[in-house]
Amino acid sequence: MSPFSFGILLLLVSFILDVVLAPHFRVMGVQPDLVLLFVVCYALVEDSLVGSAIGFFGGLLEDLASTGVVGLNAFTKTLVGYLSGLLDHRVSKWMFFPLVVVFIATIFNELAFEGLLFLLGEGVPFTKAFFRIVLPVAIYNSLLAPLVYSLIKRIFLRESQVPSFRLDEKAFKLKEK
Amino acid sequence: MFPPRLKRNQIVLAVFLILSVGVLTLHWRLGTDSFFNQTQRVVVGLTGPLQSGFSKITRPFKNGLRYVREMGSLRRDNTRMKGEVTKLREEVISLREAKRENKRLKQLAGFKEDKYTTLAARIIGNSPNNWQATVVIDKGSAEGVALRMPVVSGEGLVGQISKVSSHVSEVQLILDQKSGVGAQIQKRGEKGIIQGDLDKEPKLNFISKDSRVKKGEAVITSGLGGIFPKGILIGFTSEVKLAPYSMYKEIKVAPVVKFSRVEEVLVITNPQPKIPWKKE
Repeated sequence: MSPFSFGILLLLVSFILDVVLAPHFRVMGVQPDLVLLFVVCYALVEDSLVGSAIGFFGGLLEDLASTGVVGLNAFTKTLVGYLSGLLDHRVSKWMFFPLVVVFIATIFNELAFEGLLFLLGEGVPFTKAFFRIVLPVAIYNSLLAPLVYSLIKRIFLRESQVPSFRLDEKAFKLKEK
Repeated sequence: MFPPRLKRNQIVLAVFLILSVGVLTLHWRLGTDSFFNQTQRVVVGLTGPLQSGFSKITRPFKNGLRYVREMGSLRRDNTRMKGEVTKLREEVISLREAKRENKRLKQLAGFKEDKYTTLAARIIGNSPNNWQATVVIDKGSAEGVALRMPVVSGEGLVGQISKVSSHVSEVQLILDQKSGVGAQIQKRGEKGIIQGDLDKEPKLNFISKDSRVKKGEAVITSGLGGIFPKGILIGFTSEVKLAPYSMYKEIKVAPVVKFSRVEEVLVITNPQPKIPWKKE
C-alpha cells in the first residue's frame, strides 16, 4: 500500500473516531476536531500537495456527516492542509512544535469557517464564537497534537528522516565495543 | 522554514479550493432536496450503526459514573422530593377537578382535543461538529419519522427532525443556532421566537420592551409556524434585560431538558392537529 493510500485509510479512521468517539469526550461544550488534527499532522510530515488533498477529502467527509452546507469544511481544511504542508518538520525538533502549529491551524480553520458562515448569512457573534468554540477547540486539539504527531511521524517517516534515539543507541554500542 | 515548492502544489490547491467553492455554491443554491442532502442522509445512515454500537458499549460505564457522581446528593434530593410529593398531591387533586371541568366545557363548545401519536427513540450519537447542536436517534423513515417532526422528552421540548435516513435520524436541538421555535410566555401570552445562541440557554426574541416578563416565568411553544404543537414546555426565563436602542427585551431561557443527560426522546409523528373546531 502506498503512503498516500495509507494516509487516506487513516483519514477515514480519524473521521470515524471524530463522529463516533469525539462527541463522548466533550469538555466545556466542545469536542476535538480529530480530522483537522490528522490533516495538520499528516501535512507536516508530508508536503503541501498531500496536505491540501487530504484536507479537501477530510473536510468533505465532515461536511457530509453534518447538517450544514457541503463545502465549508472542505474549503477551510484544504487551506489549512496546504499551509501546514509548507512547514518543514525537519526544521524544528522543538517538542512544542506540533502543539503550536495545531493551535494556530485550529484557530485559522475555525475563523475561516466562521467567516464563511457569515458570508452565507449564518454568522454568529464573533466574540462569543471565539471564546465558546474557537479557543477551546484550539486548546483541546493542541493538547492532543503531540500524541497524534508522534504517531504519524512513526508511521510515515522513513528511518533516515527520523532523527531518533535509535541512531544514538548504535553510536553508544559502538563506543562500548 | 519554507523550502521552494513546485507550482504543481499551488495548482492542486487552486483546484481543490475551486471545487470546494463550487460544491458550496451548488448546495447553497439547490436547497434541501439536492444530491448533497441525499448523500448527507446516506452518511448519517452509515455512521448511525457505529454510533449506536459505541453508545451501547459505553452506556453501562456512563450510568455507573453518573451513579457515583450523584450518590452524594441522593439523600438531600430524597428529603426535598418527599416534601414536593405532599405539595404535588394536593395540586393533583385540584388539577383533576379542573381537567374534568375543562373537558366538559370543551365538549360544550365543540372543541376537539389535540391528540398526538408519539414514537419512542433512543439517542445514539451527538453532533460531530462544534458549530451545530444536534443528536442522532435510532429511528428513521422506516419507523415513520419524517423531516421537521417535533421531538420532546419527558421534561419538555428537545427540537425537530433535521435529517432522516432509513433507520436513523438527526434531531436539531433548540440550542442550535439555526433553530427557531415559535414560543410564548405562558402567563402573559406574549409571543416570540426561541433561537439558539451557541449557549446552553437560548434567547427568546421579539418580546416587546414594554413587557412585564420576569425571571422564572414558564415559556411554552406557541404553535405558530406550524411545526411544533402549542403548549409544550420549553423552559423558564433565566435572564431578562432591557437592551438600549432596541424595541425588544433581551431574554434568556433555561431549557427544562438537560440536553447532556437525555437518553430517550419521543418523536411526535402527527404534529399537525386536525382542524380544532367541529362543524357539526
